Amino acid sequence: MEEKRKTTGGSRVEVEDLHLAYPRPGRDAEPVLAGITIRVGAGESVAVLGPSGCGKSSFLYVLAGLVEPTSGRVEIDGRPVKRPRPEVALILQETGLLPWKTVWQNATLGLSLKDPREAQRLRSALEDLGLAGLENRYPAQLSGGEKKRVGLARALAQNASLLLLDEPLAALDALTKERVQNLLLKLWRRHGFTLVLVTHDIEEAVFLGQTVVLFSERPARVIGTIPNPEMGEEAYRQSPAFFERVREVRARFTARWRP
Amino acid sequence: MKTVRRQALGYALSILALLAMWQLLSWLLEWTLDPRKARVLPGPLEALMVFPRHWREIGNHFLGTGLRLVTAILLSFLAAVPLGLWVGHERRVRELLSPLIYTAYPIPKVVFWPILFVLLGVGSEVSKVSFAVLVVSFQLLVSARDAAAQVPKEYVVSALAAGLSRLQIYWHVVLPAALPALFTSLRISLGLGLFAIYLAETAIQIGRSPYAGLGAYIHNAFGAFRFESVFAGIVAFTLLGLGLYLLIEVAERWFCRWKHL
Repeated sequence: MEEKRKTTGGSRVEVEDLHLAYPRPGRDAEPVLAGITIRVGAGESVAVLGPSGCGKSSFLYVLAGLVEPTSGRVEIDGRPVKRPRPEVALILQETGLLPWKTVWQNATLGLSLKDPREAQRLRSALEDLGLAGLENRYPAQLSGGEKKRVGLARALAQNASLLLLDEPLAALDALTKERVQNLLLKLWRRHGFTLVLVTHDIEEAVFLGQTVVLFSERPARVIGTIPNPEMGEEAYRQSPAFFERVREVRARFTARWRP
Repeated sequence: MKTVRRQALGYALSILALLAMWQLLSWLLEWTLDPRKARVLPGPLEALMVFPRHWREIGNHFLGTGLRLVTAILLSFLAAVPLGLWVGHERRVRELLSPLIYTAYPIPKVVFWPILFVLLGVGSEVSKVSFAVLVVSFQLLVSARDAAAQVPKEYVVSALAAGLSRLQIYWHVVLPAALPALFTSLRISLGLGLFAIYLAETAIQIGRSPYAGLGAYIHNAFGAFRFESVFAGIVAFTLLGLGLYLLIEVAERWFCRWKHL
């Protein structure tokens, strides 16, 4: 039996007409997001696919409560996002592991550990992710895949109901990337958190997203929403349906961006 | 353990090489110059022979100089580093205060020496230490500012996302990220501090404290034409500097152990 989450799955995310512009000294503010509307149901996974520099990362920063939008409604579980929340985990491309902290210190950063269940959860997460025994290593002593898993262990320890991933696997070699993608899929199914993944990798988006959302170039707008209900199994990667979906997404993506 | 032994060997050989060069130079002067002039550079043996006879006197001065130097460096560190990290990390503060820091940085602090002495008492401990603080702290301030300004944004973002407060960011992200640069800066500060303390200790002594410092000891020996004592003082200064340098090295290896994997 797969263990089931005690919470009722993941968080609901509602974003409506989100605008974001970064102020520039002496000039008009630079528009980054131009009216994004996205709904993600509890426990669903959404892959946001967009060209480099389109504002995908900024979109995640807004969801994480790190950047205040210029206008629009951003709610998680019906509450407006104002600041970072403990139930939301953000994993960055370089995982954001601090090089001067050990695996354990990195994984517990920001956790109070007053709740003994938190430490217990972290211990079992580290074990699940094959990181047991590496607690006292520094990030420089880990492989690329291990670093990603530390980031995931963190998220599991904080019992995150929403995982925000910012091109988390971009720097990995192809084989490690597939393994971590499989792991991510397994964790998503087992723990039932909501997943918002930002990527420029079409295969990754189709493998991990129940819905693939296409962003335009900066300032980003939603230019397409492609349902991808067949995802959910590791074997999907090998199926004709997968290749068909990848082709479809690529067609819609490149139709707009052919140079 | 092997590297420690190799390093110790390196230091021992370097010291021997320095002593040999010193001896050669001293002989060279002896052969080429008038003996009265050649006296200004006695050989290492002559200088080292001062130690067994005057070890207590030199030891006390060593202690005085060492305490002043360590106090000055610690005070500078505690004052300049938090300020520098703050200025470097907060964009608005950085834009506001950086020009001020960079304008004040190149002012030769030595010129304030007489002013400080008049204000804080000629030859007083406070004036000596504050002079060294003035010389050392700017260097630390600029390094801390630059290091904090270069902390990769990703570290800050991920720590903020983990729920750390703005104040906690300094302790968990900005300070550790800046530490390697701060240790480099500390080593430079050590050299500057030795210079500043020497200068401060050569000031007019009111009364003769046994802890007046190696600067005073060298200065007085110059005045009395005891050149072997001058060089004994220089050797003591070198040992003080080397000892503190090694201490900084050990501290760096501990606090930045993630860099030495």
